[in-house]
Formats: sequence, C-alpha cells, structure tokens
Amino acid sequence: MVEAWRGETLHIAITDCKGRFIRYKIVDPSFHNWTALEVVLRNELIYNFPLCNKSFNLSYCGHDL
Amino acid sequence: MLSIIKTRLKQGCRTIKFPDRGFPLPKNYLGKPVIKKCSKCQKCQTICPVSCISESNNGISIDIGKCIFCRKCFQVCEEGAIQFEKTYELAEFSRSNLIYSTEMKKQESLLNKEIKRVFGRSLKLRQVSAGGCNACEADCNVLETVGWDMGRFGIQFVASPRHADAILITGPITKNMELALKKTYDALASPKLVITVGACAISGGIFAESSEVLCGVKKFYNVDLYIPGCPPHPATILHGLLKLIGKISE
Repeated sequence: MVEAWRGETLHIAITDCKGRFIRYKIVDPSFHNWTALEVVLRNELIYNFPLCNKSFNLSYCGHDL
Repeated sequence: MLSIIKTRLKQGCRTIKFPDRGFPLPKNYLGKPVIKKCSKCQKCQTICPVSCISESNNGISIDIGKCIFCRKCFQVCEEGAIQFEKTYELAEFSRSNLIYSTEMKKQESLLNKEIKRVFGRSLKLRQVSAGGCNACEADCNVLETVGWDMGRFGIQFVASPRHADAILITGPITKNMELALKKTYDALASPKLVITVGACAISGGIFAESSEVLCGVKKFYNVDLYIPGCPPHPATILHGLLKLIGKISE
C-alpha cells in the first residue's frame, strides 16, 4: 500500500501454491473517490460540476482497475 | 502584448499537416505486417503473448486486431518471414481485413456514402474507456491538441452521449463497465456509429483470457471502424476517422 493522490494505491496479488500469480488487482484512490464525487454533486447545480470534478481529479481509466 | 505576438511569430504554426507524411513516426514504430512464405516452424506462434498468429496456406497470418506489436515474433523468426512496415494507415471497416497473411486478399473497404453524407462535415465523438489502461485514451486525447487539431476536420470529442454521433470505445470491456457502456450507446441518437480503438476494444488484447472482461465490442454492437494498435499512433486514429467520413481515400 502506498500513498497516492487523495488516498492510497493498493496492490493485491493472489498466488497459488507454487508462488505464481493467479490474480493481481490494483485499487487506486479513484476507485473510492468516484462515490465521494457522486455524493458531493447530489442536489447541486450543473455549473458546480466542472469545479467539483476537476477538484477531485479522478482517473477515468483507473476506476475499473 | 508585444511579447506575446513575438512568441507567437517565433513559434509559428505548430499544427501537423495531415494526411501529408510530413511528420516523423517514432524510430521503433511498427505498422503493417508484411509476411513471406515460411516453413511454419511455429516458433512465432509459441512466443506470441496474445496468440494473434495462426497458420494459413503458405505460412502464417497475423491478426493485428489482437497484436500488441511486441516484436517478439520477428525477433524469433530465423527465416525473416515477418516484417513490419513503417506505415500508420491501419484502420479498417471490417474485422477480416485486419488479418494479414501471405496471400493478402483484402476485401476492398468500401466507403459508406450514407456515412459521408450524414457525418462528412461534422462528427462528434463520445469516448468510453471500458477498462482501458489510458494508453489509447491518451492517444485519442492528443488529437485535440494544437499539434493534431482534429477540429479542423469537423471531428470533436463531446462531454455527453446526447451530443454525440459516434461512440469511441477503448479497453477490453470489463464486466463493471458493461452496463455503463450500454447506457451510453442507448443514449446516442440514431443514426450512430461505433468505433473501436486498440487491440483491447477489438478483441480483448492482452486481457482476452481474463474472466473479468468481455473481450471487445464485436459481441455487442455492429462496429463501423476498427483502429488496431496497442496503443494506436494518433496518426492511425486520425487516418481511420477521416477514412470513415470519406475525407481521405486509401
């Protein structure tokens, strides 16, 4: 686990009995923070969206890592 | 103010002339594969990480819809049967045209006149990253900068599927993004086009064997344009888009 922008980046590796990788998953802060952005925007006006969106600076690609 | 004008004059026009070949491709760039007859020793097939090489009549065939251009195949080939040209014009309208073999019987990619009529002067794209790694996305994004200036051809990325004519998909379509992608597709007004960018979106790419991905777009929608590469060069993407709307021919 390492400190990244606005949260932690987590690398999880699952290995089999011989030590080979079965699954490797990376979770970056965007994964949690997209939900936070949703909450922030609720019942707000549309012109607040760009400001909030860019303040969070979330990754579009990393979300589903 | 004067210093700004001075800087502008010094910098000159930074936009690349396109489709003129006046811009340099990277030194290690790999484009269209050229395949010669070979003894089918299967070394390339074994080493290929994405199994894009298969046997054909006189030798092998390479599916650049899967290929990640890792160059392992031509490094391992003792006969020198595999080579890659330094050309960026790789985009095709049909999936079968992405498969290169010794025979090279390509179907003529016919320009859809209706697409030219409707979208020829204005094509707005909605980009969906369905589990992409940001490589294809970055190469699409760069097309909006002054260097490439895609806007001069009337092509632009828009912020909502409601404003878009086409959906541009990158990434192998992860299960988590399946619904979001469907919703975006449904939100587009008809007539709509589907454009796939990168090996992942076309065939699943390096994630093809994963249980978490749905391996490309073809299963869901009729694809109008395939832009192969891992990631494709911005020139490949721009050439594909211009070919689709009939601004350039082969």
